[in-house]
Amino acid sequence: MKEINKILVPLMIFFVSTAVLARDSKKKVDDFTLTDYNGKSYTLSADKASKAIVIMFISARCPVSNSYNDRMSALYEDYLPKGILFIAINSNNQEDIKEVKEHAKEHKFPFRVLKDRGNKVADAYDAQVTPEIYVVNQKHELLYHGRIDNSRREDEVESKDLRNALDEILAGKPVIVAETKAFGCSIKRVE
Amino acid sequence: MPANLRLPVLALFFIFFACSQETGEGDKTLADSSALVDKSVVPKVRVDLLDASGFKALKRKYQGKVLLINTWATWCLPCKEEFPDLVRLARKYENSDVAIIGVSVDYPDEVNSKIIPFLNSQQANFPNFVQDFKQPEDLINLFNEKWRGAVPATFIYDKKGIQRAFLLGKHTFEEFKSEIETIRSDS
Repeated sequence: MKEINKILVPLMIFFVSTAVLARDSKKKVDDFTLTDYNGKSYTLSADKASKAIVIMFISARCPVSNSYNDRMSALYEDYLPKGILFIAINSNNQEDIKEVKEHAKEHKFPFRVLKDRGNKVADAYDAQVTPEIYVVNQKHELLYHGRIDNSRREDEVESKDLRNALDEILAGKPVIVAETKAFGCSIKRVE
Repeated sequence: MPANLRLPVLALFFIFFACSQETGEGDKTLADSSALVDKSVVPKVRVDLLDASGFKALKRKYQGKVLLINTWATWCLPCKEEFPDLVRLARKYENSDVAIIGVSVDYPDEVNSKIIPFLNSQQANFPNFVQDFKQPEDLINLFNEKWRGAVPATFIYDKKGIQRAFLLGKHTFEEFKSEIETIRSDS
């Protein structure tokens, strides 16, 4: 019996510790450098001050993405003072820098909009849809991925998923619903 | 008229009358066909609600056929651009072992205001549904766990009901046909 225990106990310890590590290990996202519509560059890893960074893949033409314009601005206004940074990325091949700039000006976006030429960041992040959100910490660990909320009709929203995730992050708690999905427009990639 | 001629004359008259009627009926059918082509005459399109049990029933109903389900929305431009190829596809595979189905991810309350007018404008010739799920991901995950909800997205099932293709974004008639034929030959 003692001989069996000598084998079984280390094996059990190995499997339990592996399971705990697997549960706690977060998926990491790649670093990137992109320029905004004014030609100013932004590097994810250069940001050392924010408690979390919200990366929003958006589109100038997608009606679903556009239905969230005001909500994205409101999120920025509410959470920037709390130490959360918001960055928008336009990866759509059909939407050039001029259109991105006009769209941002028209909707008075308070956050920076970066142009992802050749959809390299969208590919690295496997972003498929607009709007699609990635929330990462300083270690570039993915804390939340998915939608802003559960309805493109603002008056029918029942689940404010991104706000819930940000509140949990600020409270130092794990994000309970860390992965969500919603219908939206596909990101038009280079052919 | 001699009595022995009355019967053949009556028969000829009857045949002539019957032919005239048949020609008239034929003209009516032609008129109907051209009316369907005329965009000013609106064909009747039906859009049913699709929930989780409806999705399972749909899969059951089409087992034994290669089933292509296209998800689309009236707010999605690439979906609208892709739609004529689906209509063409449905025409090609009419009465065959391949079925084409459309599922709109618009809201159910947009059936009359947006979905049916679009389907009519396309002369949609295959069954169409509108999603009726409380949470979008309930439908998204039913189709494919790897799908994030971007439309258009097309899913092709083999004759056993197993998903064999997940096509994200806009595709052409030839691309759809190629996928269908590969799955069809393997089934």
